[in-house]
Amino acid sequence: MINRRSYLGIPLGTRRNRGWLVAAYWFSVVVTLAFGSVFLYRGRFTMAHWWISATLGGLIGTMFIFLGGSRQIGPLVDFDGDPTPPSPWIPLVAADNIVRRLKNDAEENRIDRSLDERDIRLRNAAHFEAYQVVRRILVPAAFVMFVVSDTILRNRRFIFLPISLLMTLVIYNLPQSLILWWEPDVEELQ
Amino acid sequence: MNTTFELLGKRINLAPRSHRRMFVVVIYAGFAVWIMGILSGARYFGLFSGILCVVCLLALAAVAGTGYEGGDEREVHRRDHVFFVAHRQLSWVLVLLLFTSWFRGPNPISAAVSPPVRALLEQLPFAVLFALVALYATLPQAILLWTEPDMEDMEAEQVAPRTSSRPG
Repeated sequence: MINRRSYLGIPLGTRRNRGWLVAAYWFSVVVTLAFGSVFLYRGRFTMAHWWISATLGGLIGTMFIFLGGSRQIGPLVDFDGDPTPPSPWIPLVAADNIVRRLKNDAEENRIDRSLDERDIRLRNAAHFEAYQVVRRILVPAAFVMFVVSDTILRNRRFIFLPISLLMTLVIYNLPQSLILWWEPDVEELQ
Repeated sequence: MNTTFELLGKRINLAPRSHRRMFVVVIYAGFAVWIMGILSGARYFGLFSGILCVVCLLALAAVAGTGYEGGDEREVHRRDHVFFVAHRQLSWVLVLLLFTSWFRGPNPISAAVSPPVRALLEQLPFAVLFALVALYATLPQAILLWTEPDMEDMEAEQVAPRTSSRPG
């Protein structure tokens, strides 16, 4: 499933490195969303507020594609087996440079491959496991949090968006994280 | 997957795909009523819609199971593929949830519209959230029911040899 040898300078051959990549990714997601929610709550709607909001938006947009699985960006192959390169249209201006770097990095380190039977089985199994986690833990937890935040907390207007974002990122990127975590070392595979 | 479903003593044949698709539509109509019942705030309608939601969940589980059942390798492969498809489809609902959750934060649109529309926009994220919960609980089974080809009625098959073997 992994379509490149290294990603942003991190060699992807070993499971340990991929574990660190996944851990760093989720750490940055939580930090960004926590900062974003505090900033949103205390914001005063100045020009700087909107610029920082746009930057945060770009950063969060990048987080959706960072681990791959879609549109040939990131360390994993496209889950639909689409061999076409990503569109040059980039929706988020703030994420432009990061996405460009990811694309260049991808072209240098790309291992040409499409989904074989093992990949499809791994992809489906990862989605099945992720679905179980989300269905049994995340959706009920988010549901309770939304209801609690909407009835008890004073800043309820500001908590819906960060929790929605976190839930979306977890649902969207959990299968990718599981695959990066599960894949054995390259030496073991060979 | 069961090919028959009994409702109030009446046996419904779910072997043809068209019947199963109709069944899925009815189940999701029930969930839509549940969401409306919760958001309406009316006590009796909310209670009725809650009961309807539980009935829909039970009916779906009775026909298609929980979705986690394994089996031989082919069945496990089919099950995992259904979960993959369901996961991808739900991405669109999540995008919708993100978009609508924007209305609960500070935004220029809410300030510009009339109070009833503003109240509706503030309720909208909850409607999508409830829809997400319902879909997450049921979408794999629904996809299975929707996509499986026409099946022969297993019970009819079992009954036919018995009746044909009866003497004159």
